[in-house]
Amino acid sequence: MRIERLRLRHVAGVRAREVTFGPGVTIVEGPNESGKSTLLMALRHLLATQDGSQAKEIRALRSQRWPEHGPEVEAEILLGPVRAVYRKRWLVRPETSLLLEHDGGRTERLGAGEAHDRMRELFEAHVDPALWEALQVMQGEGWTPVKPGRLPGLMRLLEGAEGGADGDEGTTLLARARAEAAQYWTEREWRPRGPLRQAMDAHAQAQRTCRQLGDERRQVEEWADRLVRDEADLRRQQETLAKAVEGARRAEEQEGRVGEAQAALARAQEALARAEGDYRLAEAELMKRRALAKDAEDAAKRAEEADGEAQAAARAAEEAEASRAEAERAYEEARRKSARAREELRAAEDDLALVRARSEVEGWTRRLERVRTLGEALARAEGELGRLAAVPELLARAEEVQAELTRIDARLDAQAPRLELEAAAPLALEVEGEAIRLLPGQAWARRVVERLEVRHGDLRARLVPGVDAAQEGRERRRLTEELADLLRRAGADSVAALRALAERRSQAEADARRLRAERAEALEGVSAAELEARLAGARARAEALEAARPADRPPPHGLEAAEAARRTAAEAAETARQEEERRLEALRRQEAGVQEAAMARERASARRQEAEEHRSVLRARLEEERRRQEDADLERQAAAAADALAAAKGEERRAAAALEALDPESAAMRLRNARALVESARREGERLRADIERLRGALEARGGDGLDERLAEAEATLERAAAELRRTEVRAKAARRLVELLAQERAEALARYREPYRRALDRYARAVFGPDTRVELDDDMAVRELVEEGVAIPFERLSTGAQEQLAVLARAACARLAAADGEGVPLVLDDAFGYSDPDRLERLGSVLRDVADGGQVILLTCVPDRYRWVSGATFVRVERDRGGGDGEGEEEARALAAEPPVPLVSTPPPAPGTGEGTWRAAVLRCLKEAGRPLGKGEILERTGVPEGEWMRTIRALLEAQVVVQSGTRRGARYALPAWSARASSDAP
Amino acid sequence: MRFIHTADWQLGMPAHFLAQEAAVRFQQARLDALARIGDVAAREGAAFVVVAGDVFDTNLLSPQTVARAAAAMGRIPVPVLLLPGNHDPLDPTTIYRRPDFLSQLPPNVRVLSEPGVQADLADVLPPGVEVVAAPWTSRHPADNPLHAALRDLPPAVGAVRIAVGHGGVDAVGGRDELDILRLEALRQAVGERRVHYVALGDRHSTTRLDGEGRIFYAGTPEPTAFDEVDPGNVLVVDIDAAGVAVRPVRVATWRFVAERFDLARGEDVEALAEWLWRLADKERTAVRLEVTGAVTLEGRRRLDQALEDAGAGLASLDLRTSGLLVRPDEEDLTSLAPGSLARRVAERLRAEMAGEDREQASVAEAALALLLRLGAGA
Repeated sequence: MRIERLRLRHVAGVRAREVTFGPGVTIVEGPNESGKSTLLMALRHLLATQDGSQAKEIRALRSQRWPEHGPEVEAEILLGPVRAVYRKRWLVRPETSLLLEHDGGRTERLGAGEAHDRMRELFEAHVDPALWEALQVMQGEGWTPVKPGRLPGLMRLLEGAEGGADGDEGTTLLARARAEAAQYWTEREWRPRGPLRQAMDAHAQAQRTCRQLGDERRQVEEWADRLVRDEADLRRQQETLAKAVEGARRAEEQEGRVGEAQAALARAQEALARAEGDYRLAEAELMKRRALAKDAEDAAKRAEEADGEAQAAARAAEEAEASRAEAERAYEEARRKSARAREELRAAEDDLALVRARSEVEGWTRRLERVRTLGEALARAEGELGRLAAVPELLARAEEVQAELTRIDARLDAQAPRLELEAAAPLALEVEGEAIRLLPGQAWARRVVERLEVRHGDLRARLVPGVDAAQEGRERRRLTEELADLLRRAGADSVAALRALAERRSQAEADARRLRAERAEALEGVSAAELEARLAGARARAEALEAARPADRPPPHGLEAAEAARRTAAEAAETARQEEERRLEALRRQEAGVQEAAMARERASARRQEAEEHRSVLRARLEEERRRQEDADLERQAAAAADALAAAKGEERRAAAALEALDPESAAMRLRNARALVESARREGERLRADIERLRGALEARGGDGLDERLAEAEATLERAAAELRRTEVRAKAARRLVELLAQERAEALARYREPYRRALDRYARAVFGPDTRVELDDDMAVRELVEEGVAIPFERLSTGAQEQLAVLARAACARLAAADGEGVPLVLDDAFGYSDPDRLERLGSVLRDVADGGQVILLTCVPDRYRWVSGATFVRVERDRGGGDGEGEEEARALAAEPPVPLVSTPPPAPGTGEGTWRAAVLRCLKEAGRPLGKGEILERTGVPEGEWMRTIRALLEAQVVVQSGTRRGARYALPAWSARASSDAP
Repeated sequence: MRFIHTADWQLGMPAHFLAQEAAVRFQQARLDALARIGDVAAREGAAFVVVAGDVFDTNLLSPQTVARAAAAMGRIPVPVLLLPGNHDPLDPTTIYRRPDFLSQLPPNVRVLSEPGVQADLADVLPPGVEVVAAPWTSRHPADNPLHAALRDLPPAVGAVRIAVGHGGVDAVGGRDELDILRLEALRQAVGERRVHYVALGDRHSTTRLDGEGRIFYAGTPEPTAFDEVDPGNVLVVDIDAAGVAVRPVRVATWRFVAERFDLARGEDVEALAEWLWRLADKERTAVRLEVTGAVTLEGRRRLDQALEDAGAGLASLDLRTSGLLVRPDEEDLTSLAPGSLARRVAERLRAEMAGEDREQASVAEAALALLLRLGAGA
């Protein structure tokens, strides 16, 4: 199919437009809202929608600005060997017309429904409608991946390419098999439905009924069995009951005997109790009498004893008093001894004090003497020290000086010249003023350390030392003078003497130290005055003691004797004191004993009196009792009661033994048991009888309602249901199996047909995405993923641009495959590749070019630059229609809109006799109908007045003033004058 | 003395294998058999009719069934003695004590409800005839009651003694069951002339059990199943001190026919059709047809057609085709273009039909038929 030309009039915003498409790529460019998409929409409706349609989509095509005109679309289309000029107008004076030009020049002209049907027939013969739909991608429809597996026409092509032949036949067959299977199964999950479900339900229901009746049947059998059992049980139970009743009767008899024995025993026990009472009474009487006699005897005895005790107590009291008096005397004695001893101790202590005081006076006197002596020696030593105070310092310096002198001399010896004189004869000379006399052979020598003048006679020899020796000599002199001064200051004539002085000073110092120590020792830390005071105190004490001393007392001897005497006296005093205490203690005890004895005597006396009274009372009472009843009488009475008791006991034992022999407990147990047995046997019997009654009733009810017949009928129903189910199942499974096999076979075929499509698509994918690219398809052969360099990317994960590109490539591949077979369909892309970069766009260009080699490609865009790389494209520019404007193209559009349609279908020629008048009348009628001003185009269109007749007709009407004109030239509008609207029909 | 020995009336017996309409007729036929027995009795001058057990198919029958049975028995012109058998024992559910049965019991009908020699039948039996009965009291007794009834029986003196019993016998397909009859015991009783004739029920085929001809299964008067050998008779028994003569008389109106056809060649379908056409009394005939061999789809279609045509009117047609293989041939598939989708699928179905799995094969067969039908409509 190829679209050659498309003309729109009054469609949506387009007043009039004609577009001519090339055989290859046609690019329709124009700004937004210029009606590019309207072109496509119009083409679709032309092919699909009948002229009588009032559908929403058709109403949407109606122009807002020229609503008096119906939207009109005309297309020139090549379908195989036929060229079709096809036109439709909707809504206002709907119309369809079709002109077919066949290869051989034959033409067909058709109108109305006929035209529509013929066109559809032709279209379907040459075009796969699904493919046509798939290859038109409208703006805003989205770039869904195309599904070639769902395009029967394309599939047919592919199958043809592979030599398969299923095609439509396969589709139809599968559809029929599916329809058949759909009677029995749900579409997707193969769940039973329809007759199969019914058969299954009926079968299940029959099974349930059978089971239920079978259960009832078994219940009846069970009841019957139980009834038989119950009846047997009841018979056995009757025997048991009879035995139990007999047993109970025997047990009751036994129980009666036990009762009698129990009564006898009770009587014996009663008699026994009475005998015991009598016996206890007699025995008590007797015992009481014996006790009274005994008590009386005891009381007499106790009275005598009390008397003896009272006398003893009196004696003891007297003895105690005697002892106390003795103790008192002993105490007095001891007290006196003790006083004396204390006196003696005091005297001994005074003696001792006196002796000590005297000794003290002596001691203090000696110590004071020594202190004084030491003080004097110390004073001396300290005087010496004071005198020699500077000695150590002087000595030290003197020794230094001397040592320096010795060193200087040694140097002089070594260095200074030495004057040695030896007298050969007695010689007197003077050296430096010193007269020296030498005997023959005597020598003299001197070191020359300074100018030395030796005079001998007239001779004056001067010896002058060298400079050094002179210097040394001067030093030596100075030191010699200093030494002399030192010795003078010390009062010594030589260094040795000075040393002796130093020795003395050291000695004095040592003495002073020693004396001070001794003195301190003698003082013992107290001052001398203190010592004096102590001495005076001791003296005063001694004198006082001396004065207080008794005159007759011999003077005490030494300290030790005095101390010994005091110790002896102290011990004696202590001993005497202890003795005194002991005696006092003894006295106290004796006094207590006296008191105790007196009280004991009182008590014993009281007891004696009491015992005597008790004895006389008891004696009186016993005598009274005996007067009442003799002792012997009581004895006899008790013996008789004992005999009676023994007899009663014997009787009681016999009665108990008799009862025991009857084993009353067992008898009671047996009786209870027998009664329980009877009771339970009766109950069991009742239960059985009730059960039997119930079972009989139930069986009667059940047996009579033909259970087995109903069961048999249910079984027959089940059997029939099972057979029906089997038959239905086979049919259902067969249908299912057939669908499965058909689908499977078809899928396998489809898999084979995929290949050519995939090759075509891969070729394009490589061209756009690069050489190492391929696509993977899903079952419907839609692109599932793009594999680039071995990495698979699912379609949904691709970028928007890549998705769009792949969607276009898939369509391009379809278009190419279809075109190759001569059944091409135009590939129409409205506003595509908004997401593609220039590089991709260029590659896509080559693909579109390739598609265009075999078929038509129509690209609608507002960005023509996108497609500049599509070579050999036909460019068509469309502009936005501006109402009433006078812009470029406007003129042309208006002309186009005004142009009468090419009569495709030969309109019947005007009837003979029609002419200007007819046209004028038509125009008037038209204007009257419109009720508003109309332009030339509209009038011509509505009336069908030929263009050539227009000028003449309208001029005549205007001249006759039955029509008025507003505006001029192309803006001219024509209307009926107000006054003539009503009367227009009367116009000539 | 002449009497009629019959048994196993199985009144109220259902018929699963029959369509509902035929089942009703089948039941009616069993009741009608009683009338024919009455006719035989009258014609033959029989003194009485003894039914050796299983008078009813079960105790649990509806009152209507019981009432119809009682009425039919009442119409028999001679006394009728009924023995409770294993299907209708004297257990707590027994019909024989049901009020609806007792209230409608015709005067000529007696139930042999006490074991041993019957004392109270003097009013219905000819003089010099004794009946020893062995009624069943439960469906599963510990021993066949006939054994006990015969054991301590003194020899019959001056009377013809007829024992009436029920149950399988060990000599014929002996089942290992407690209630099985020991044929030897029966023969001994007959040999010692403790009884002169043993009238048995349970086996639906008329069967003689001893050389002397004194022990018989009467068989059912109307057949009930395909496996019965000689059903549909009653026995006319002539017996006296001199001897015994037993003669079967046919009373059945229904037939159960089992047949087998091996469809090795196409012609056999025609033979089968012919056989079916020739069957008489189709409305009272139940057919079990086992068809084996292999046929093409066309052959199978013709078979079905033949069954539909020739089998029309049969009380039941139980067709067994598990041994029949359907093998489509080229001709069957000519309507499918070679290499077409339908043809490829057909080939696969054909392979499945040839497989071992019979279930799958039958589904495949139906699927192929469907495919051909759908393809034909294309």
